[in-house]
Amino acid sequence: MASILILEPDPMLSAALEDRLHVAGHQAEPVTNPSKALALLAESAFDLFILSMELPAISGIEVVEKVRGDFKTRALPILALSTRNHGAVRVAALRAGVDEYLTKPVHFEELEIRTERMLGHRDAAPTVMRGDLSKQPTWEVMQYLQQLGKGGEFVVRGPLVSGSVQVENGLVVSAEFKELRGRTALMAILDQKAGNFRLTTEDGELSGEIPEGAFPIPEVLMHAAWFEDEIEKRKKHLPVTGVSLAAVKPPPEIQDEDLAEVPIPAIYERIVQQNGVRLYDLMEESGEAPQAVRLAVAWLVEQGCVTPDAENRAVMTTTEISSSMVLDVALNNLLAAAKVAGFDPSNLPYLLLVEQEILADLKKVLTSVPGFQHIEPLRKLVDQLELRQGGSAIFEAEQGKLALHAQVITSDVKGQMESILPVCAGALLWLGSAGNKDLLQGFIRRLGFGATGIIIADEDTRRAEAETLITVGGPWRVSSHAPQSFIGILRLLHPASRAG
Amino acid sequence: MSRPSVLIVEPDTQRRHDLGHGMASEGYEVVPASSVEEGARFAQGLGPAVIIAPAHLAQFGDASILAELTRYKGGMKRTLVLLGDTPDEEKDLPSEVVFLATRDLAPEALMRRLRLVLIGREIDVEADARLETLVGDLAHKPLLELVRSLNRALITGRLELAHGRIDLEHGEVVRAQAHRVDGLKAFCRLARLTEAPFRIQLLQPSELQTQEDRRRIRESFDALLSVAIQDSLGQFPDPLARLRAVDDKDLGHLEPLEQKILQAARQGVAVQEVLDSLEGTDGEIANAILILEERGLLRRQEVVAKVRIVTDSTADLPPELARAHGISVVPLQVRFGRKTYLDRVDLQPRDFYRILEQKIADPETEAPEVESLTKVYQRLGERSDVIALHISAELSETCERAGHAMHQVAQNLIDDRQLQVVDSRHISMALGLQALFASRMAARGLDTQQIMQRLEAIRPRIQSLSVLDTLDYLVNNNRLGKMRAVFGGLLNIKPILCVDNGDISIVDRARGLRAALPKLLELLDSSQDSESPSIVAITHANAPAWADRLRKGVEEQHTVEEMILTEAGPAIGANVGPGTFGIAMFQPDAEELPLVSSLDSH
Repeated sequence: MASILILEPDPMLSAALEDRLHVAGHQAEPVTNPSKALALLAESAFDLFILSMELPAISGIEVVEKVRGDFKTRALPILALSTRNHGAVRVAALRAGVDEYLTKPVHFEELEIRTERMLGHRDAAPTVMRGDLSKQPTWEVMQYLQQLGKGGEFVVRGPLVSGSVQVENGLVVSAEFKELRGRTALMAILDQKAGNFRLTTEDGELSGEIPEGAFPIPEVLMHAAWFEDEIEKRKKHLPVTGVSLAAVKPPPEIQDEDLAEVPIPAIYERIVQQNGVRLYDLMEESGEAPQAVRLAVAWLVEQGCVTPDAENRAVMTTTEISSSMVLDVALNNLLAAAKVAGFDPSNLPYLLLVEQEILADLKKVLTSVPGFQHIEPLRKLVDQLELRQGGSAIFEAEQGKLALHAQVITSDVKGQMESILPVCAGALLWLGSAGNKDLLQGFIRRLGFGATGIIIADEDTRRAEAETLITVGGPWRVSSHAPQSFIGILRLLHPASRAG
Repeated sequence: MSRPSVLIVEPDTQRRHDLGHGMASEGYEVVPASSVEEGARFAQGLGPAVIIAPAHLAQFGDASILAELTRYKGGMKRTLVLLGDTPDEEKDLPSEVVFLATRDLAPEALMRRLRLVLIGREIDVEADARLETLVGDLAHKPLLELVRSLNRALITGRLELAHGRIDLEHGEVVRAQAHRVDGLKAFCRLARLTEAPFRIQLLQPSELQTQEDRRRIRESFDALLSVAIQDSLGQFPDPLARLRAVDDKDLGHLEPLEQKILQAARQGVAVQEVLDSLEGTDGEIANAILILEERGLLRRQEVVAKVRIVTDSTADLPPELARAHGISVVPLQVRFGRKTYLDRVDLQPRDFYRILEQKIADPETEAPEVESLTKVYQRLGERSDVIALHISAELSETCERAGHAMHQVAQNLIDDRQLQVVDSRHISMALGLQALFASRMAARGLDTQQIMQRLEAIRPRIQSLSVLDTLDYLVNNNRLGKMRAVFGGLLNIKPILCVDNGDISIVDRARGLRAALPKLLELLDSSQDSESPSIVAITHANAPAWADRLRKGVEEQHTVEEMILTEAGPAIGANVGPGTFGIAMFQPDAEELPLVSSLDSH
């Protein structure tokens, strides 16, 4: 027996649907009002949602989008009923998240078959969900996994690291994060605020004995929440991650039973041994969950045992430091690949050409690099773009030097850019709406073979034109996605991106 | 880019050995052949990039091997170098064959010339007629790409441009000079040129030494490239604008360069003077000027000329020259099938000749739209008098449309301005020279009436001659209606054309370009005084080596006061076709010379 919510404003049809589903052995809850339906979905768990696409005040599509937008109901099967059988309408509904689409008048036998199939499918197939940790916190995903009471794998990919959690029957059987394992690893995963996740859930009973070391999810969730609270209380004592720390006096004996579990003495010892160490280094290298390190440092500062070294204030935050490391990796990666492609990486030029209306997007991408204020080349580039509509950023990396030259395209600079393109290791042409075909043709022809050429055209009409243009040959490809980050730009310029 | 392979066909064992040894020691792959048969077989089977053979050798000597070689499936362009005894042997050879007279040539000099041809092949630049320099135009090979080729081929030599020069030692740039500046700054400035003829001389390191080695460039080529690209980006303030310091402001912290700019601005100097006199690349200085402006410490004032000169793109004025003289150029329209381009705006010579080679459609030209003309005249007319010099009315509707446009502008303007449309009765640089002279006279303080009077006197004395490789384009564009029947069907006849009272006519003809060049020089000789100072402009349509031959010929016979080399733009190219080269020459009298000569020289 499944529990089914029916949203149908026509009382006659609603009653008929309820009867039919009841006869089929399900429990149906009919409502006529969309907001009531959404409220019920938020409160209770349903196995299927049947809704009419023609509703008063709100469209069926909007209801479906709301249901899909809510983490709790994003996987709920939805069957739509509609008086309209137009292809585009059906596609719009399916795109919004509808699983099945039936037209009115409803053929009840078909409805029954489809309902059974949807309920059956849901149970059999593993569900894969992907998301962004900045929108869906890790604890919420773990809680969901716990509520499902099923097995699954939760994989997190942060800017620099990745971690994974295996769950069987609601119990964590293994967790990994960098060198960390078990509870500490899960704690560290719960601390990840940025990156992507993938959640694969599947059915299946736990086979045999409960593995050694398995632990229930709620235990760690509670533990992490306690740390968050304790850190929050000492927020003003918590230094930024890039600040050097200096030991002042040994910590007093810890009375609080809970705090006794926090690795305070060990962290203090590290600061004594390595005066000037940063919170960031401690979190990276201590083998403890990051929350535990933060709490320990905040407590030590609160007690006056440790002081952030005001004289030597490095000003990068954790995100900034890890981001600068990612940037370094991406730069070296690109330089190494260009070297393989036959370029000298000691001073490698790349050209970034953007149309006037894209300048704002480009500046946004550049300024949103974490720690932008501390990355001199990027700051200089943005200043020059504002002042003169063109500028350069030179990055020094282990593998060599990468010079990123950016210029707003106008017909005035055509000749100049065509002179530069032949000596560039790659070029990225970011189109807005006003793309000038002749200008593009000139650019496309000038880039040398072996270089990497990317045209970004995220508008259908421009894309079609760009696709035609690159058929003249050369090392170009068209990307329909505008880069969202600076790393995204570097990735696009990577020779491997040409393969698709 | 790799070193070309060389086939040497030479029955004389000693000579074959000497040539082969010389080439191989330069790192070229050499295939020696002792007989015509062997040479033909190797040429077919091994596909060498360059073939060197004596001019007297049957089959090779009459260049009939060329036809054979074009059948080679690789489709690669080949260079055939024929070594003859005296220059007379050259005249019947096809124009694509490289000929060298070796009678008075020392063995080292011969090797040096052959090496030049091979390097030219390697970096894809043609050698001049005497195989002394490589010649080309930056429009086809931009400076950074060219210097990179020279860097990779480890060249020691000098790259010369009208605007300056660059010295290279073993591929590394060691010196650069552009007008009044040198070093890194000069290199960056030259790298910003988009069109300019160049010459490359191969030299020994000792020949490059100068007293002035203080400003030697020490950056590696890659570092230099990076700086030059940086320097090319962004907007540049108008070089003619004057700078004024705003002194009532709190100066705050200033960088040394910013302090120097402010100091110069207190004297009220022009942007160009600041760019020339201060250290730092032009880009760095431009940046500092804009920062100071943004901070409210500096103001730029545009200089308002009393008379402004307008011409159209058929004038073939080098863009740098037009910019430096403040001449506005209105583009004609060039059509390929249904696609219309604006001459030299969205269709550059390089792309034009490439499209032409693809034979998609025959190019056609059309006068600028009245609106485009109106826009330019209106903008200039609001602040200055305007003299608009255009292509001969016999050859284009431009003058007629310009008249309509000027009439409209005259009605719109509030102030009373002198607005003149002038039918130049010429085309290409013969028109370009008139625009140049007009702007020089304006810069020297002449008013509109005085300039118009002077132009009247100058116009009929400008001689313009050109040699066409084919008549097809003129005929296609109906520019040569009457003459069509006369020349249609004749083989390898190269007509020499002149513009006479506004129209094109044929003054002479020759069999082959090699024979046409001396005839053209003869015609010049008979009409111009070789002692009087001449202002000369040489134009070519994708034929830099022929333009260079013409330049040398003119320089040998005449007293050249100023030499301008330029490439014909698409509008002219569409009418004359590739391979055309020509000259516009003017001999000013003693009174005119100081008015029309270069602004730098007087």
